[in-house]
Amino acid sequence: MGIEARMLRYGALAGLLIIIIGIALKTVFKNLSLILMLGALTLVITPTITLSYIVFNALKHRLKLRFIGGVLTILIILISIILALFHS
Amino acid sequence: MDMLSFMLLFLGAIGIGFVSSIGGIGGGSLMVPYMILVLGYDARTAIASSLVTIITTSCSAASVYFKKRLINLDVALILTPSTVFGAILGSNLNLSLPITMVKALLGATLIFISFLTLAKPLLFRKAIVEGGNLKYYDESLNRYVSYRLKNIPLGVLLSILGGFTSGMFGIGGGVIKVPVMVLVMGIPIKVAVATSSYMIGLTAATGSITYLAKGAVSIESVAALALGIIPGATLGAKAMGKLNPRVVQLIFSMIILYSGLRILISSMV
Repeated sequence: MGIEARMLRYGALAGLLIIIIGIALKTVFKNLSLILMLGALTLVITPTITLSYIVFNALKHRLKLRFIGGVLTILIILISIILALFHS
Repeated sequence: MDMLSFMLLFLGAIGIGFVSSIGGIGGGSLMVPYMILVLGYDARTAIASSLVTIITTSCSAASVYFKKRLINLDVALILTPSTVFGAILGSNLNLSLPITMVKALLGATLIFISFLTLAKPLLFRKAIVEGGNLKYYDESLNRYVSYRLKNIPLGVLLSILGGFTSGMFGIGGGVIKVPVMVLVMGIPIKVAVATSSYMIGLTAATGSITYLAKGAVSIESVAALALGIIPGATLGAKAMGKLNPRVVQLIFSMIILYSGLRILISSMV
């Protein structure tokens, strides 16, 4: 279980760090909202990437229930991303 | 965002992290009212920013629970599709409803959460864990505890509500997910809390996608809140033995009740 824990911790840390760098640079340069957005997106995809790793492991060890639940979740998240992009 | 607002958010988040950690309660239901009532944020921005902040707190908590092997991934992945679906419904409904209605519903939900927080210990006393094929290692008991899952379809159905509340009101949704797992599905409290902490991250991430695409998130606020909550929760964990969790839960419920009433009234005026 060590890898999942590390993925979650370092993913969240990376997202926060990017946002802080974005805020710091924003005081010097204008229009750096892209960096802030990148930080927020890093935070958002961290649990999903961890889930993908869990699904991959479930496939490797033939854990059917875990695999189906994981794939279903990823599909719903992908649909929500597509919907959000279409409506924005 | 100016420095003063950043500092106020940061300091408030330390307090929220502290209280949440001692009382064993979610920070989202304190973050949203704090941003709306104290700092004057628009309800939608507060909800969206709180939801993104919850991802960081969930990742941090879940990483600890993963190490302790308390998360039941089978349970998490049975319930997550429905919570994630609920979160999409909630976040989209939030964006399509008039802001006064969102505030009224948020106020009513906070009032419900305050009562649920008070009733939870009494409800959990009635929880029955039946021995079965699943097990976890309980550090305080120094032995393995076995349990089995029951009422899975009902648990899946009720989880939609947990996800919906999370996406709609910017809270973690653990306040619904944990009682559903414990009371309906027969999962031990420690496993339910750990499993829910991992699910919260996925639910909040899904709900956040909708808000981020609409530009409703104040990303600077997310940084201030996340930076404050983590040290606050650490301080809370250290002070845990010195303060009575029941008293903290009672104070938390009163604050949430007062905030809920104020938000509800402000939506009507």
